[in-house]
Amino acid sequence: MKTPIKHLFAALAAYFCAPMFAFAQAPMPTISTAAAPAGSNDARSAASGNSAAGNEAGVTNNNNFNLFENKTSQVFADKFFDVNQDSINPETGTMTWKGKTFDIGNLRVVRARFERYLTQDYSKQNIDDYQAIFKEVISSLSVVNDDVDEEKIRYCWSRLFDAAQYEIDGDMSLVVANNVYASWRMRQEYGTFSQSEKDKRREFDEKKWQALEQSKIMEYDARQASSASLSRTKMGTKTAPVGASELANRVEEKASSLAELASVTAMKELTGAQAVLRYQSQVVAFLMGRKFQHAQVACVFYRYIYRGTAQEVKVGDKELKQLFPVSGFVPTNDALESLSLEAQRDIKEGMDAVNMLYDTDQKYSALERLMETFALGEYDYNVRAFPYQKKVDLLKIYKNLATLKNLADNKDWGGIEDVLNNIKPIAKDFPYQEVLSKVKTAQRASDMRVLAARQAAALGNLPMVEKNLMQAAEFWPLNPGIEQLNKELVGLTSGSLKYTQKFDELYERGNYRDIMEDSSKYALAFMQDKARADKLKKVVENLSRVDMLIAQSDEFATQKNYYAAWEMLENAKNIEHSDPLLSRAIAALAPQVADYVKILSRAKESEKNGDYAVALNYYLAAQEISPTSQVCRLGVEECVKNYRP
Amino acid sequence: MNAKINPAILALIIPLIAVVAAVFFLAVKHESASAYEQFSYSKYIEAPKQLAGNKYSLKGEIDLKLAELPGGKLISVKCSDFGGKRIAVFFPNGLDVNIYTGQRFDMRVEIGTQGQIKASELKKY
Repeated sequence: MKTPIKHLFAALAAYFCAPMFAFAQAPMPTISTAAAPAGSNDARSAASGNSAAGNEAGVTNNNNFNLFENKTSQVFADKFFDVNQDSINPETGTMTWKGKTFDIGNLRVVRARFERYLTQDYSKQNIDDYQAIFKEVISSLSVVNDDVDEEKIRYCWSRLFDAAQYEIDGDMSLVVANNVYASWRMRQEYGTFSQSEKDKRREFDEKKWQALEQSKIMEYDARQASSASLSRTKMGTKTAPVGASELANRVEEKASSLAELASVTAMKELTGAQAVLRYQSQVVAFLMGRKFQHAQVACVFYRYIYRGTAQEVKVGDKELKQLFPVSGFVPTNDALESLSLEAQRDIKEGMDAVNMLYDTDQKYSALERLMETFALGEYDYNVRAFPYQKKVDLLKIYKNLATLKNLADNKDWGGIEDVLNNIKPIAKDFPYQEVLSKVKTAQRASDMRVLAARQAAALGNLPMVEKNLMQAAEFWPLNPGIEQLNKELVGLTSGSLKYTQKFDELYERGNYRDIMEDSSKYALAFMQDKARADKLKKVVENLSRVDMLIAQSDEFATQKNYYAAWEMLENAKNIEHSDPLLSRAIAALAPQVADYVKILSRAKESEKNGDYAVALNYYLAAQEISPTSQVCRLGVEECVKNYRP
Repeated sequence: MNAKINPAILALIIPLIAVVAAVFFLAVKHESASAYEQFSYSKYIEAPKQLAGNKYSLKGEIDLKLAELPGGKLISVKCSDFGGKRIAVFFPNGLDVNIYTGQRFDMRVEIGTQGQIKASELKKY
């Protein structure tokens, strides 16, 4: 019994759950707030806010797994990507794009961001001017330009502040500018330390020389004194060495100078390394956060700020291994820039497809492609520049799909029908019929269970009533038929006496049809009344058989097989001859079979009178008219049995 | 003394005897077939018991055996003169005729008080 509903859910998951996979949260990169300028408080708070959201993602991630617990959902998640390479793994919260893995975190939050994106109008922010700044910076600092001097680099750096003025930038350009500035400042510090190192070395050399000279003087004095010392020894007197304390002082000064030199050297090297690592960290953070254009700009600046020997990326081993899962790979600044360019190209192609699909009135497909592209290019210019009016249209479809998913989760097939009708005019490529047929299948399955429950109630079979109602609710919890039947059953429990009297009257008058109409109510009322329950059961069984035979008769009559139709009514008459419905059916059919009925009635009358020989010949005559007649065959058999020559 | 029969007379007498014999045979045969009225299926169906006690001549084809009864067989017969309409005819055991489906008989039948049709003589035709 669960198979049809399982298939239904698999299909609905395809349409409603799948889009949710594309909306994955990408945690914001960790921005060095110390490097941010005073005016970038907003950027800091945004960064910390997103970071908090990222932490929340870690906490609430498990809550989302129930969305992806079946394989079908996973398959449909993969359909947004090249399944051989690109995919989203909801269990680990990562997205793999062309072999690079991005941490996407809490899907629910990203879904919310996607909705927010669809509602935001970026057209007033003059995105083209914003984009022109990036193009200018990148082309100015391109390696094809031989004339990139310090002044041009500083000009490009100042343009980053212009870019940061745009709301769409989210102050990310400030982060790049701050890193460039910090690098310059550290380079200055490096120079200061270098000068200091030179001074210290000079001082050390001087101290060293002074100590050496002092020691030489002392050696000379010692040699001069040695000859005189022999006579003084003989005379029994001793003299202390001259300049020993001064030498000790000189040596101490030399050691002190050496220590200072080492300290300055270490500080110089530390400053250089710190600047490189800090900058590289920011580039990797941009990439991990899918801010590919800022990553590219940062890479371009890096090339001119640091020497060729510092192009190898030394930070973020773990992150880079995720991005470049190749053993023995040595990441460089150029590799990171290449990755950024490749991602931007992919996003642009995705948005071209979205626009094409939208313009050709394939809005559902356009929405799917947009969600797919949004997962990678959430912060990309091409995604942001998508026209607002188109987003409004797609938002309508998206909201309907989200509603559809919620309704499907709750198995509210009635509600789904309404939503499908809303979607149909705005997304002509939506697989409307396919979904609708599955909805109808579920509704029909539920209705059949309700019907079975009603029949079981009519027979007083309470366990079957309960079982069928539970199955009906499983298919369609909000089935109005369930509520209706429940009301009927509950109402009956309080008025069994009323139903007992009514039943007796109707039964006495032979008004079985009225009894049949309220059979479920009577059944409940007579649960403790076996005699009436048996009578009711008999009535229901008989009239059910009569109804079935009338239906068969109608079918034969439709096929112009009137004699067979009459045969069915004859059988029904044997079960319940006074049924008004049956009488009406007989009256309606009689003109079509008058000859047959005349002979047959004579046969029955003769049989009834014991004239079996005559009855036999009438049955044979009737059989000539309707050779397949069961009544005639049985009549012949009966008459032959009683025939007396 | 022996009076010889004239051959010419003999030649006249023999064909004459043959003709007389033939006429007699035909006359007898005509009398047996026309002795009973032809059975009318429509009259029987309309009012079977009104024909009780009557004897008829019935031409029919054996259809199928309905039952083996004490004293004979109940067989449905297709009336040749009434478009093959079937009636039940009782064939008593004493008729001393092998009966098979598809055989055609000119039979003498009698209608019983209860409307039974009973065969008494059978001739294949």
